[in-house]
Amino acid sequence: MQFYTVKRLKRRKEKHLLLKGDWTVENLSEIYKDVSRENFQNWKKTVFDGKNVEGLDTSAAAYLQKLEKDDALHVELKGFSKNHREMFDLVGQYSCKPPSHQQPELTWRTLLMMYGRKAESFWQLGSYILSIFGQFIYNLIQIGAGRQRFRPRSIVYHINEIGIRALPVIFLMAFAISLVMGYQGATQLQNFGATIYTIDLVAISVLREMGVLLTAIMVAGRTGSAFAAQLGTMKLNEEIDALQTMGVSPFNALILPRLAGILIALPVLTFLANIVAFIGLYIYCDIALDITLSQFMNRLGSVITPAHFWTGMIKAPVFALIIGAVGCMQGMQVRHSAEDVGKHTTHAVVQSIFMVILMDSVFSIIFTNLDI
Amino acid sequence: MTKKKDILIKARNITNRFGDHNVHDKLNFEIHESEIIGVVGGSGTGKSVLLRTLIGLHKPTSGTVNVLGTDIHECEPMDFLDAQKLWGVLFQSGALFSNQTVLENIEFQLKEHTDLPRDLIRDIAMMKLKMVGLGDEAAMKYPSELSGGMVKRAALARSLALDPKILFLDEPTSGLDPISAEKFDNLILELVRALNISVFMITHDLDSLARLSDKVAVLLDKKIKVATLKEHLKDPHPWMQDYFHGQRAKGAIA
Repeated sequence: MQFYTVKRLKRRKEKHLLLKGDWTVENLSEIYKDVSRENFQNWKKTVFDGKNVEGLDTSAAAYLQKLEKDDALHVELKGFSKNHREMFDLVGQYSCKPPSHQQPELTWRTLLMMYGRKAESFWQLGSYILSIFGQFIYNLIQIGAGRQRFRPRSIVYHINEIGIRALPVIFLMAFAISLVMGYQGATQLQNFGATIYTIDLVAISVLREMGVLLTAIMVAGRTGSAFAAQLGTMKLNEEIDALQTMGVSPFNALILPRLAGILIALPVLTFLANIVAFIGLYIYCDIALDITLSQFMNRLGSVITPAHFWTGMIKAPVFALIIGAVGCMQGMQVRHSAEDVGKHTTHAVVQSIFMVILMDSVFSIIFTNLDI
Repeated sequence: MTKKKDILIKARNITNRFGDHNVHDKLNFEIHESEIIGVVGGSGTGKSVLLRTLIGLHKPTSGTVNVLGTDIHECEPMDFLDAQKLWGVLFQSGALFSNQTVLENIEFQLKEHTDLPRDLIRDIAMMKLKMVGLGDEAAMKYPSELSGGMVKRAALARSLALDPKILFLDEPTSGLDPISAEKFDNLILELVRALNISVFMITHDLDSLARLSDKVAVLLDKKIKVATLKEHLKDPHPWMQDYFHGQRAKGAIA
């Protein structure tokens, strides 16, 4: 559909566009395409005659006015009805230049500033996590002294959320991991005719590393993110401010039960994950390697020592505190919008998994040097 | 204007039921061209449900909503899209997209539904922003950095982006101080008259109601009563008496 017809007055060097139809935002894309193809340069002026225009809205009026104001085009608007002229007045009254978006120049100075800011915020996050540990211990002492409220119901609720509800997924993971490791180990050990050592391989690595590490990663994904999202949403909704005004410490009411819950749940989950991994290993040994239950138990009993067990278990509460603190910290960092909640939830998961793995290597170094 | 005004939206026999609870019972309602309707009613009388039904967000239990000849709850998605261009909605808390600046919020529909060049879209959006009385400094801000009144204005600018014929306002002045609320009333009145828009306005603000509305729709006993404010004042129904003759109403409707 055409929204104008062209009339050329050669002698007067004028080009007339006789507008028709609805000049509204719905048709404006099409109108824009057509008008842009018109030649304005060879004419002394181009007249937009609005006599037959039916509808005119603010967007189209703004567009026409923009053309008129462009000195290079020599556009004249005429013949518009009274209603339409009022529309032009309205639009003209409010038209203005959009503010230019200044991008800060990238010099060595701004670059340095950027890294400085990043480093500072990293430092602040670190000290925030440390302060959560500090407050946790302080609050425990306060509770012990009877000066702060102890909330066992809340802790039990979080143990259920973090621990019991996570059981199926943790079991499945532990089972699958021991099968995979058993299969990989047995395939290699077969070359030496030493498939019985598969049990050594899997049992020790599950006890020392895999059990606790994978459980912690799973819990970081499940629970760390939940902490950040719950606290972040409460923060946005001013619920945390509300708690504060009622004289209840948000730390005591929200963060402490979560930390206590994860501190109890993660070691228990780790322990159960280890057991399920052994069951998975036995099933693999029974089916693929023809190892009987008594053989399996004998081998397992001679391989695993309390040291293996405890080097794994000792990590669980440390990982729990890291995941809990990072999740809560990220939740409390939410400031402005729903987008912030998503951002900090992602940060919580990424940072806590990163720190768990980092801590795990620190433990490895310590245990190796202590010959445990 | 003596000419009979066209009907833009026609709702017939709308029944909305939630569980056993009937909110609307065979309710009939129209929105005419360039007419401001204020909608009032007690809590739980389904003001918001009616709004959501009229704009197609909520499918009524039974009944039809007819927009320019199409039933928006039964038609093809493309026809519904066409019908949607007829209206703009100002949600109660603004519902500005929090990850976009105010200007980007206003540009959003223009970018989605037209192929216009960026600079023209920006010009149009800036004009809308100025129309609602916001300045350059607000344009590049994010919604979380705005005050309550500015959020409402920015949201109004966004709802006007595609030059709608009908504006749905859900409690436009709630949460504003009396001065801002009055300014906002003036703004709506001015824009609506200048752009020749119809307004469907849910409000609890009796001052706004008295100042803006050509007609008042009262949701009462699962039905809707549409009349001028004067006619409602004479209604003997006890709820009407309480509403329009209470202490709070006296100042507003004097």
